[in-house]
Amino acid sequence: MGVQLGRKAEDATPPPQQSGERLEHSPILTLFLAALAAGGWCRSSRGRAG
Amino acid sequence: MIAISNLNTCNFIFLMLGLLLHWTPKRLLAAVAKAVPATVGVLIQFPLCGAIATILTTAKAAGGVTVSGQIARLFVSLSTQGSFPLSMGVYSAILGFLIPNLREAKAAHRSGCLPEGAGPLSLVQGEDRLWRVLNPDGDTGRLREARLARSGGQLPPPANPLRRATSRDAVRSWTCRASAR
Repeated sequence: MGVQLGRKAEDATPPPQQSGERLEHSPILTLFLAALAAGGWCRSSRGRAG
Repeated sequence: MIAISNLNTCNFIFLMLGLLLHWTPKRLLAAVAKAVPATVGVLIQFPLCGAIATILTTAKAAGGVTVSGQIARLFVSLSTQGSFPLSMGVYSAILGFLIPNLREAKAAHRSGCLPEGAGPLSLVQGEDRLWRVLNPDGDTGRLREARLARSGGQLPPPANPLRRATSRDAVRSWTCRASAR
C-alpha cells in the first residue's frame, strides 16, 4: 500500500540549542510522568474497586 | 481490576502511550504538530490543564479542604466591597503570566478557583460560583432565592460572606462608575 515504516530524516528533531531545552529532548520526563501516571491510575482503580 | 471507564481514561491512556512510544516530549510535540497543526495546542494542553484544574478543585486535604477552596477563602478574606474587582483584576493578570496562550484554560482555572472579576455581570456570576466552592453542599444563590419564593420568605438569611462584600448594590454602583468613565 505504499506505507513505509521507519524513521525518516525529516522526522529527526534538531538538537537542543539552549541548556533549558535538554529536558524535553531527554526521556527522563517521559519516564517520570509515565511512572507517576501508572501508579496513580492503579491506585485510583484499586480504590474504586475495593 | 483496572477499568477504562470514560473518555478521560481514554485520553489519559493515549497521551501516555504517545509519550512513551515517542520516547521524548520533543518528538511527541513535533509529531502532533505535523499530524494536526491546527489543533496541537488544544490536543496536548487541554488534558493537562483539565487535570490541573481537577486537582485544584477536587483533591482534598485531611480537613476536607481543596486548594481552590483555600485560595478562594484567601481572596475573600483580603477583599472588601471596593477592592474585590481590583483583586480579581490583579489575579487575572498574574494568571495571564502563568497561562498566557489559552483563554479557555484560563477560564477553566478561574471558574474552578475564583470568581471572574472582569466585569460587573461576571462579578455576580462569580459570586455564585465562589459560594459553590466555599459551600459545595450548600444552596447556590439562585436555588436559595427559588426556595425562598416557594416558602413565602420563611427561610433564614443566607450566611454567604460575599453577600456583604459584593452585593448587587455594589455591582450596580460599580457599573455606574464604569459607565461614567
